[in-house]
Amino acid sequence: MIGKTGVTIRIVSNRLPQIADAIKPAVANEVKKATLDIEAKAKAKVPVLTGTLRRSIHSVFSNGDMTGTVGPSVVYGKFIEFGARGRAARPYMRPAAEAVLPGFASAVKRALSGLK
Amino acid sequence: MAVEGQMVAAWIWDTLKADAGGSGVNTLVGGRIYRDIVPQAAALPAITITLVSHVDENTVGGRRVFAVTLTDVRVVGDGSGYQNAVAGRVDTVLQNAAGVKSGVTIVELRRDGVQAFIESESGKTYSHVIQTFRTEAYG
Repeated sequence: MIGKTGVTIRIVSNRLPQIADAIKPAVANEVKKATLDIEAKAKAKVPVLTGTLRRSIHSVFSNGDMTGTVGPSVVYGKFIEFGARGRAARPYMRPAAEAVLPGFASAVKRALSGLK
Repeated sequence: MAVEGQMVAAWIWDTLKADAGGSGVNTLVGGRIYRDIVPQAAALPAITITLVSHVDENTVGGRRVFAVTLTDVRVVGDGSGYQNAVAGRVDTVLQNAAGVKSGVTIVELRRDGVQAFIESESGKTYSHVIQTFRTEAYG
C-alpha cells in the first residue's frame, strides 16, 4: 500500500516585498559612497599645474543611482592618465579606483545583511 | 622586502625584450622598449611600460600577503595608424604569463582593458594603443 505524504506551508508573515524595496536604496548608497571616494582619491593624486584638471574631475549618477561614473571632463585628462609621445603617464583615476573598489563588494554585503 | 609593482613592470620589460624572434615584440619595435617614457630622439614605433597601481593586501594582523598590480604596456606609433600588430603580439606574449623577478613571484598576467587614442602635437600625429595587465605578486 502506498502512503500519501504532504507538507502544508502557511505564510503568516511575509517581509520579502519590504526587503526587496530596501535593497535598491542600500546598494545605491554604497555606489554613491564608492564613487565619491574614488573622486576624492583621484583629486588627491592628480598632478596639479593650474588646477583645471583636478577641478574637472566629477561624478555622475544614473540608472536610479545604481551606476556611478567618475572622471575628468578636460580632453587632456587622458594624456595625463595614459601618457603621450614625449611624456610619461601619471595615472590618477585607476589607482583611485583600485584603492576603493576592493572594499565595495563587502560594503554592499554589509549593507544588505543589515536589512531586516 | 620588495616593491612588487616595480618588479612586475621590470619583469614585463625583460619578457618583451626577450621576445626577439622574427615576429617578436622586440624585433617589431626595433628594440625600442622603455620604462615610462619614449626618449624624444627615439624613432617609432616604440613601447613604454608603466606601473599604474600597486595595492597591498594585508592580513588583519598587518602582515603583507601580496600586492595587486596594474601595468600599462603602451605602443606608440607615428601617424594615425594604430600599431595593432605590435599590440597583438604584446598580448600574445603577456596574457597568462607568469614568472619571478628579483625574488618577487608574478602570479599571472591577465589583460584588464585596452585603450586607443590619437594624439596631435605641434602638427604631428601619434597613435597610442594601451593594454593594461593585472596580476598579483608577492616576494
